[in-house]
Amino acid sequence: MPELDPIIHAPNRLRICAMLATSAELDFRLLKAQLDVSDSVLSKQLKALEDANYIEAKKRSYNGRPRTWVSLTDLGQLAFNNHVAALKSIINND
Amino acid sequence: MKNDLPSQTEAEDALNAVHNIQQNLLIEYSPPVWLRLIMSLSYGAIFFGYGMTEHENNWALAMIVGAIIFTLSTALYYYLYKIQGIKIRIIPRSIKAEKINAYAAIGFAALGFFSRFLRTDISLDWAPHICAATASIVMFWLLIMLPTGETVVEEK
Repeated sequence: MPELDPIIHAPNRLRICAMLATSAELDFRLLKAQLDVSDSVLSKQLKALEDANYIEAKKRSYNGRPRTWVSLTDLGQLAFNNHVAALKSIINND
Repeated sequence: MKNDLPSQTEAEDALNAVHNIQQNLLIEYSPPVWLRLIMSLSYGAIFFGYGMTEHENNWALAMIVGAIIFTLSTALYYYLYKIQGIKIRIIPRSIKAEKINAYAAIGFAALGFFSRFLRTDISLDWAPHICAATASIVMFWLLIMLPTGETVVEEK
């Protein structure tokens, strides 16, 4: 039975992983707008995921402006899939 | 985490949050329908032109024009996502998306083959029309259901 991942379990981090699972990379500003949080709150959540090697953040210049692109690593994708499977198993077992 | 398992309701809420934010992202940021329609029709034109081409008649030109429009509209599709902050995935990572893409690739290959073979070898003159229409519809469906190449748009 898959286990819940304590790093992903926090609501904002779960939603960040869910959004990143839909695409190759997402812009920091898009994540911020979707979560409706401040830069510092989002940075803190991303740092926790980055420390676990679940995400990668790359800074690139676009039209002269720096943009931070965030992507889910293979490990992060696996952890997210396992976490979702664990949530489903809780629902099915109860 | 084992000693602090969420209740069934909490687990349902968490899964709903995952579903909602994914679907919201896919629907809110998806490119306009007209662009997806152009992509689908130009893709179908490639199949139609290929099926109708004999040596260097005008249908070869239709195939080339279809390919150019499809390439340009695909580039615009990618660009529109990028300026909104989304880079779409070319090669999918989830098993579900991989399966859909594999079936689609096989289906398109078969449509391309039959588009020409049925008309030239069995004299079914309407085969390119059917194959092109099918390719357009399937491509449009893929662009609606799998807009970023990874997660399927679905009703809850």
